Amino acid sequence: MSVSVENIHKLAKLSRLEFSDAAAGELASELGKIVEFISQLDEANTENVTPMTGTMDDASSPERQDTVTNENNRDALLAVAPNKEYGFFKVPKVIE
Amino acid sequence: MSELIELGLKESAELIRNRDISAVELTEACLERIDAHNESINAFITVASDKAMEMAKASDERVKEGRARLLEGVPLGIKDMFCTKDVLTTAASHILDNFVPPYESTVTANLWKQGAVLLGKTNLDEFAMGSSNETSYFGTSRNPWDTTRTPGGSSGGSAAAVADFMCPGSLGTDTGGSIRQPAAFSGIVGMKPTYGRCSRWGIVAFASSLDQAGPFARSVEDVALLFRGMSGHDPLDSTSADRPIENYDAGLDDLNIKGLRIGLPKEYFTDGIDPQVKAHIDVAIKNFEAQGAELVEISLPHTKYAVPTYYIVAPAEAASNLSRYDGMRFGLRIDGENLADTYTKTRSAGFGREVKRRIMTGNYTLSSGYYDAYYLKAQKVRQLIRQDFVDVFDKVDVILTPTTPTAAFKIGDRIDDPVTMYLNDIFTVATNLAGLPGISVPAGTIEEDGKTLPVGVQFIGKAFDEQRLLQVARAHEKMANFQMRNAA
Repeated sequence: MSVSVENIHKLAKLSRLEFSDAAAGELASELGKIVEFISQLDEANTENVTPMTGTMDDASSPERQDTVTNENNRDALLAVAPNKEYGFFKVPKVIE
Repeated sequence: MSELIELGLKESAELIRNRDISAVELTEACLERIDAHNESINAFITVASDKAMEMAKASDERVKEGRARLLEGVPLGIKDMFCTKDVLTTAASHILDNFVPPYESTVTANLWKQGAVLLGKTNLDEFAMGSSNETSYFGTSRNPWDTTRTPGGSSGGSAAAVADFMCPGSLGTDTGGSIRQPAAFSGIVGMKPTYGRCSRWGIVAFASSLDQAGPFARSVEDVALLFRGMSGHDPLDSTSADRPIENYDAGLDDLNIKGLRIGLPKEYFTDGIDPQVKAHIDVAIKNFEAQGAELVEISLPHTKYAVPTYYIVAPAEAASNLSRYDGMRFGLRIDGENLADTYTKTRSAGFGREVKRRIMTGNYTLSSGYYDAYYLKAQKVRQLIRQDFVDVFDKVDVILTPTTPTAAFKIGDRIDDPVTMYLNDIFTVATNLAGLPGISVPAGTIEEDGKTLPVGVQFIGKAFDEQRLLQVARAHEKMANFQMRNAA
């Protein structure tokens, strides 16, 4: 199974990653091997099998009480921000 | 001093409670050991000396007041995947190497409420993606039995710390074997509980439908005690099970082996197992047989699909989970020309090679045109793998397998080929896919290149049946001829 370098660059863009051409070449070959490996599943008969999304048999969707539990932790959360101003996260300009 | 570091977890807690030793003395002894050995073992990324001493002093105060709790004064190493308030939490990644969480994970909070002491944060494969600790941004952790070898991964630092007597117990996380494989490679006990037993809240997310926290220690009894202290329902994790927690460390010897039905899955006893490893597993089986256990040959026919299924499901979930690392709210930020460029530069500089490989694999299998062929297919095969276990647990009480096909391998030996590295997990991943509890216990030691190396046996239990799983593990431990390495 081959994965092209072009495909790697396309996937990288979707993943918000970038690779040099050399790194993309290596990755194409590695991903090719991985894809070949996972393609073994083709031979498994999965007709009429329900896809499994989790392991909990008795999965319910618990709802919490409708009460406010968060305290104001703005300062604590902003303390770990890479860039902040006036009590907000500061991000690069998104509108030209 | 060496006597103190050799104490087990339960024993330490009892001695502290009875004021035979103090929490401060024990914590100091552990910190000294870390100071002397961490340069060669690299088990800890962060040593929280001041915090540890502060917590130990508080423990001694409580003991004096007669208010000692379950784990009072016991120092623990915590895998650097658990958020610890005001203590650096890196996931062994450059992208988080400045991250000091403003909150505490539920599991660690449970331990501190029981009096345990935080010694520091242990090394791991970056974002727990690896089986040898070699993908850590902070360098690989080393196996105390032979420092040219890996302690296993991803929870390698946690296993190495306990095997090297830096602490009597530690925490790991297990997504595809990341507790059981390092436990086997390091000659200690490690358990992955049933999915839902331990809250995932505040643990750096890797693959949410597989991740589960669990304990390491040098005996089954200590693992049972630590498990009791860390587990329990948590409303902050919607997949946390609302089920009662037992006194797992009590009644460990109450099991009647006579009539116990032990399943031996034929798919796990293949030619690929090192003959020396196999010999120890055979002895473990014979020991149970001699005590009257009933050995049942079983089949888990979809076993061969477990690793490929895992390497679709786990990277897909990881690719989604790791999209949060965008450099905006916490962690590393590398400024680019615009927002998208900032994301890309941050992630490209912040993630290591294996993490990027997993993100790319995940996004490949999730991308349009491939989703049905890979991701949906894997979810269906996962169902078949789980059904295999459901079917056999009608016939047996517990399953016995090797934990790994070989003993610890040399650092650098398998890092170049991702698929070879992934095959390390061959005996452990199915348990995660099915959500079942599994435990690795030392079975003996082998000689390889003039070095003594430990071998582990794995027991797999029914969902939420940790009580019996631990009893079986304890029975094996008593019968096994395993000599722990010397602390000196």
